[in-house]
Amino acid sequence: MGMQYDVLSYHASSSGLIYNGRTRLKGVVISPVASVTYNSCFVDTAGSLAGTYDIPGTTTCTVTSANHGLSNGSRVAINFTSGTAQDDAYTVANATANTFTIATASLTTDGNAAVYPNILVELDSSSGTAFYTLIPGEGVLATEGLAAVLPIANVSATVFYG
Amino acid sequence: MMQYDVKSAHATNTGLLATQNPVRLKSITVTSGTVSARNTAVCDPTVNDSGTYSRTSPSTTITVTMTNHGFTTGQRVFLDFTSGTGRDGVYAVTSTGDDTFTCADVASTTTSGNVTAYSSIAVEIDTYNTVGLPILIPGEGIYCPNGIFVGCGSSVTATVCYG
Repeated sequence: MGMQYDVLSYHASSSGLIYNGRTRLKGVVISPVASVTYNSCFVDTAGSLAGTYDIPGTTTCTVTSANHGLSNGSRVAINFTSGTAQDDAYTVANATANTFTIATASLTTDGNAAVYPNILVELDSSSGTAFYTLIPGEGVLATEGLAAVLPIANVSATVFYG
Repeated sequence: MMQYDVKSAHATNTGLLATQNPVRLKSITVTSGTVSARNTAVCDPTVNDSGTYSRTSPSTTITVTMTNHGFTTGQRVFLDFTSGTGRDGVYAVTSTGDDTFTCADVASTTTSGNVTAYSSIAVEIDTYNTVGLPILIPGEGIYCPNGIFVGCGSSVTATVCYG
């Protein structure tokens, strides 16, 4: 019999830090509230970027983050910590040294953003049926910390880690 | 590989003290009988406080009086309403004093009664429709040193396996 280990759980009602430190993501329950497509991400906080964003009444959001190092086509999770943009997973486009764009809903808003390039698991939902994903093996390693990026107020999650 | 046995217990919306022994929670299956938001929580049965509550129409705010509750604003606790028509579930509390706190409900009918708050939650599961949700907890499970209280939301049942 292998070494026993216990796990812990965390209930996330919104985006934020789950655990600060090296850990493994072992399972996720996604609980959506509506039959709308949402993306929920669980990320390694290692390599996270701080920046600002602006959506000037269009569907193009410009994110400014010094020396972000991202490439066109990269998938990132973004927690918009102010303004009204929706936390989600996005694909990077038009990357320059300090800026890139993403496609969003048409909005007029701006604010601060935390960008997570290291997505451990991205789970999509399209109905109000909660579902569980048991991650195989020992789970997915988060080297520095584990955080959730959830669509605002529309999805909650229970995370197992350890 | 060494075999080991587990036990199961079935909880209805009155809640269930499954065991007071140190165990590991191995799995939980949540089945809701309603298409509406519900919370189910597995809690430490020894970490609880009792008090009274009231909700006055048309407000959806529940006011709880509980001596030295010690809760902080934003903390999630399972509230087991043992009388009146309060809906059992996990609530984020707003501390309004050493002996009082409030939380937001969806119902607005006038009610009052007694309530027990379980504030050490091992796992919380949310559901929004009637599809049963089986959850196999990874590894050896979640260690519950003082046993297991299963708190179900209204119209929700749960089956836990532990060992």
